[in-house]
Amino acid sequence: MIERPPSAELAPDQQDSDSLPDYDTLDAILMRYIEGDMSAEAIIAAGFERDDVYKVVKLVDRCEYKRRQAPVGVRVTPRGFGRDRRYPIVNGWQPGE
Amino acid sequence: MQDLTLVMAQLDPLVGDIPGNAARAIEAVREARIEHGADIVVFPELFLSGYPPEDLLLRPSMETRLREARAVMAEKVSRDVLVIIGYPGVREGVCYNLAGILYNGQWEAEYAKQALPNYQVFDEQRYFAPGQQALVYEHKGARLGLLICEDLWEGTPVKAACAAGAEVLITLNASPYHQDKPGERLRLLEQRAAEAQRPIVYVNTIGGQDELVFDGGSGCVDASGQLKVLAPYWQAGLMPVQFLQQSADQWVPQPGEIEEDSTAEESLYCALVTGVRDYVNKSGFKGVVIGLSGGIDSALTLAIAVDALGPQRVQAVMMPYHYTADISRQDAAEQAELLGVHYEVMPIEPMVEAFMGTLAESFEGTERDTTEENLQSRCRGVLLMAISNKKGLMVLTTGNKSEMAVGYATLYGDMVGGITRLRMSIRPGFIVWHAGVTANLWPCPNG
Repeated sequence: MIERPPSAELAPDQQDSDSLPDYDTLDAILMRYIEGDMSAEAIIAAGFERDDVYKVVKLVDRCEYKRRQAPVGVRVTPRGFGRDRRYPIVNGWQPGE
Repeated sequence: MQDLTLVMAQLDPLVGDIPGNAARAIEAVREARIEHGADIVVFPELFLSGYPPEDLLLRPSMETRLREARAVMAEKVSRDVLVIIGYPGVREGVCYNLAGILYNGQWEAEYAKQALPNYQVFDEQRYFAPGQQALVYEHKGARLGLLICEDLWEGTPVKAACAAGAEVLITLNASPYHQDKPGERLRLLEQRAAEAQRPIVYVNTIGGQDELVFDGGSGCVDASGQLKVLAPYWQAGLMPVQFLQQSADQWVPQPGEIEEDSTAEESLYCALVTGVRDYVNKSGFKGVVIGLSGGIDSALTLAIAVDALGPQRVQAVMMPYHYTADISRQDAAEQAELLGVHYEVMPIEPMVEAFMGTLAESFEGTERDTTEENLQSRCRGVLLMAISNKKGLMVLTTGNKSEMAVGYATLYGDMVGGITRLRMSIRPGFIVWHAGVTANLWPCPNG
């Protein structure tokens, strides 16, 4: 189970990495964007692929409405979703610099 | 020369249950007196209301209930023991975060928290006005300086208490856990004690409250900043500190029990177990139901649930479809058997086909896309919610924080549920690797 590539198993031969960067890259970008409040350009400057960064950042921004409807979760980092990170759902902020 | 026994009451209040929290305090003082011969018992910040009480503080009856509870405490708390306890209070029309001192049936004094945190999860300035002065209270010859949580982090109130003549600093806290917090807290204590050249007693809350978990770790450092006593993390209880008077104004904490260091992984796992356990128990659910996919996230969720609630209170459901691999079915069954939970298999084919049949005309000429994928997830969500309704079990959501960050989750599908255990941990590699397979890897004291 631990060695198998992550899959939502919702389509034939589907793997999470088909639609997302691999988890190591994804988490590294998320850590910088969410926990570190870094901009997309700053994350790219730190050595990540432009396409990966913009893909991830746009996904994060786009689904604020979803997180707002999600069940409460246990906070174990200094920047949990919930009381720790309060973002507008509708907004015209551009991720860029 | 005399000595003084102070007991740190590292306990778990229930937010809003003011009479219940007062009863817990009365019982704790009685026990501290009998078991440890306490001269002083110190409770955490806002113990009577629980922390954080949030907008309950805006209810006018909050103050009435607190006054009633404090009257009951004055009547029933053991005699000859000084009690220091946190509660909110409206004084001359202004709400403060207070530490009250009760002795022999009289509320003797109140200290108002001066530094009010308004960052991260804290928004105390929404509710409280800051106190303006230090409070030093003399008991059995010891001059006790009171502080509340952020006062210690901010630092200025520490100096004010020392300037007002405090010989021993006592802090009441509701300091929530996050990764690396226990270490940060100990370093702060050591630093502040060394700066102030006074011993510091630090009493923290324990237990889960909504998304927050309090890890305890109450302790005492001496005037040089050396740790003398450290209560266990993740475990409610009373922990004594013995003070010896070395000269007229010098009280020295004697070496006592010091909890062993736990690893970052142990702490994180205990945080998740505590958060799930208290959320489910304090809300009065019989147990939880988990959709088991055979994958790592639901396996870890299952392990946490079993450690939090015991196998009898956990039910697992496998809901396979065409795309579910055989090995996923096998792994799910094996996980459930290994952890001893009730396990059912409910294929979702008939449900998905029924929906697709109804939608066929409307969807004519369209390509397959995430709509069909989400439909599978939503069928599973409906089944889980039905089990939840019928059996009084909370749905424990299995997604991780990375998925929630990028929206790799389905509304009304795999996002249904009362609480999600991994929402706040960005898929932490080590815990997924280490904890995903079996439960009871780390013994959590209250698990």
